[in-house]
Amino acid sequence: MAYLATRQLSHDVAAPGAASPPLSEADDATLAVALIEKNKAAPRIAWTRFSPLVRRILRRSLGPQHDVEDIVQDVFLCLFERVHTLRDPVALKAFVIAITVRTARYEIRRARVRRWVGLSRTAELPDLRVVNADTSSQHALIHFYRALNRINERDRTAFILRFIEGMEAAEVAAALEVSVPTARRCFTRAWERVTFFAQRDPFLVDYLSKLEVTSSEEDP
Amino acid sequence: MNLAQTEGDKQTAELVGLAQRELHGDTVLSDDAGFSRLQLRMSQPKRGWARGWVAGAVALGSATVLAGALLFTQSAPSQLSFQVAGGALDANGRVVGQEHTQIKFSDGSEATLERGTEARVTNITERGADVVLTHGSMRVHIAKKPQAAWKVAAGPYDVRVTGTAFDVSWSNQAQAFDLRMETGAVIVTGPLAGSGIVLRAGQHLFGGVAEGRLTVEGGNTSASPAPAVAALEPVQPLERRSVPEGAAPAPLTPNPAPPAPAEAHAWTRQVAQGHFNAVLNEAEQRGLDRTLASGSLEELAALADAARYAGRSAVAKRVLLAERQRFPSSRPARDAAFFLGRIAEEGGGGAIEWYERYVSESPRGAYASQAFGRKMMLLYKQRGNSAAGPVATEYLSRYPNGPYAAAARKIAQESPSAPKP
Repeated sequence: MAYLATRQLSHDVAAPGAASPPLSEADDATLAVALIEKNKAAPRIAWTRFSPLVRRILRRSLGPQHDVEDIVQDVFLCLFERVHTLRDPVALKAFVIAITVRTARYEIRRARVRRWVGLSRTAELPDLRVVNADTSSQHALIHFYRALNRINERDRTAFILRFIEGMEAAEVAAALEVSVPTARRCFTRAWERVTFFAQRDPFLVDYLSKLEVTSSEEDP
Repeated sequence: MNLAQTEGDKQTAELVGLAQRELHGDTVLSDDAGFSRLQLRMSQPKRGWARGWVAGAVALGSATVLAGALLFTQSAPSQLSFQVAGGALDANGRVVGQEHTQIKFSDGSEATLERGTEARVTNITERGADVVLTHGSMRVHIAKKPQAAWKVAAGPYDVRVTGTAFDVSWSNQAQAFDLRMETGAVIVTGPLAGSGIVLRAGQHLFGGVAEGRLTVEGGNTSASPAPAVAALEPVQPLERRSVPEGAAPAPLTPNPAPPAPAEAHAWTRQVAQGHFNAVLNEAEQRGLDRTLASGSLEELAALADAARYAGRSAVAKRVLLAERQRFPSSRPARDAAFFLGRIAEEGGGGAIEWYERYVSESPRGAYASQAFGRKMMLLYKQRGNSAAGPVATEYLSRYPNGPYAAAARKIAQESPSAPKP
């Protein structure tokens, strides 16, 4: 592929023209054009700029039980493959988000097949990359995502994008490729269902009732 | 929109906040390392990573930043496709397992390879493929689809599957075959297996020509006919191993017949739906002793979960012990050691020993970092820094980003004797 090049330790590649800022400091539209033109520095800059966003959306979409690093790469491979279809370079970030959301929804559907086949009877606890040693929070997160898993995948994604990722309704609609009213219905309905399921999860009820109690039991 | 109006809304808002705090975009990989991995995948043949669903046009047709339609068209592949995640596919179609290597198929099936395992994918059709295990171990999950036709070959053994999950290993050196069933059913053919051995959930088949025998553990070796396979009977020297006797409070019926699949799945579904007490009531109506003695592995697993979630620790303990006694080689039985440790922490003692047992039996199990971390915390509380320090150091070497890493670093720093990580 044209993007393969000697790995550059410095991303400061000067764009044509002495007065142009380096590509690493360019806006999204300039970066999009660089990707389309197969500028050799562009993929690395796109990775640095967008991988935290992609990783965050994937983690929040798929939940704590998924290792998302390979899926992050899938998103970027798709981005590099399809960026030439981007008509408006200004919308590069939205394009990245749309690919990420589509990838997440695909993974959610696949995960549901695996659960149906019987992959795990209880929550699998991978080595969660969290800073604190609060296992109750980790379990609560897993139970929360179990509740999310019980609603349909589009409503679930709308919920995550609106309430966890903090997107506005128009952004959620664009990411899900639906109208704004539809997006609103999706995440409102999802909130109601998640609340219903969470209130019936004994672990979550117990965890939330203890939230105000500060426990120093496990702090050395 | 003000959503935090009811108590339930407030609780959901708390959970949303928890997800925001815990699930972020940070990674343990440096930016350089992450991009290097991406470059490696970019250099592979396209079939190594391409997803069938991506094929098609992507168009963003609006001048504003976020308005406009974004369309993906999906072309339906005429046959399955696959990608290799976390590994490499060489020019000969060989996959070599690394840290987290998976072969992911477009229908949702997948094979997860242990480190150093070699496998190939051949005979790909729209209904399945042949996954050839050259040597090593892998976990296989086959999506259950109508007329699915998959085969897993391990050495001279063929495992025909329709929709199931199992672990399979083959050693060229020892000429040893090993298959542990998790769900569903498979038919194994090959040396000493006659016209085919049907294995079901919870069963474990191992042995081979070098050993001169095949052994089945757990449940009944089924002689019921399967599609395209004639009715069979166990072939000598097929050996039935009885489950070792344990200190169970109730006498156990050796190798009782498993219940009909629909009944076994009902409890699993009820637990998933939060109906814990319903499962417990059914078990008690059936008779708890009888359930422990004759229930299937899936039933016991669901019952143990129901008891734990319902706070019935004494019942949960009995069920988990029964799992370990009756299905000692199964993954749920190994996981039971971890859950018994959690119960022991509530009272009664013995938690450290259970966690040690879990880590010993399942060093790479799903709860290994939890078990190790819990053991470290208990040692710290019960015996102080001198006991916990070395464990903290070892925890950090195994799980540098684990859930107890922060606590382990504190303990290791405080400990005068533990070597610094």
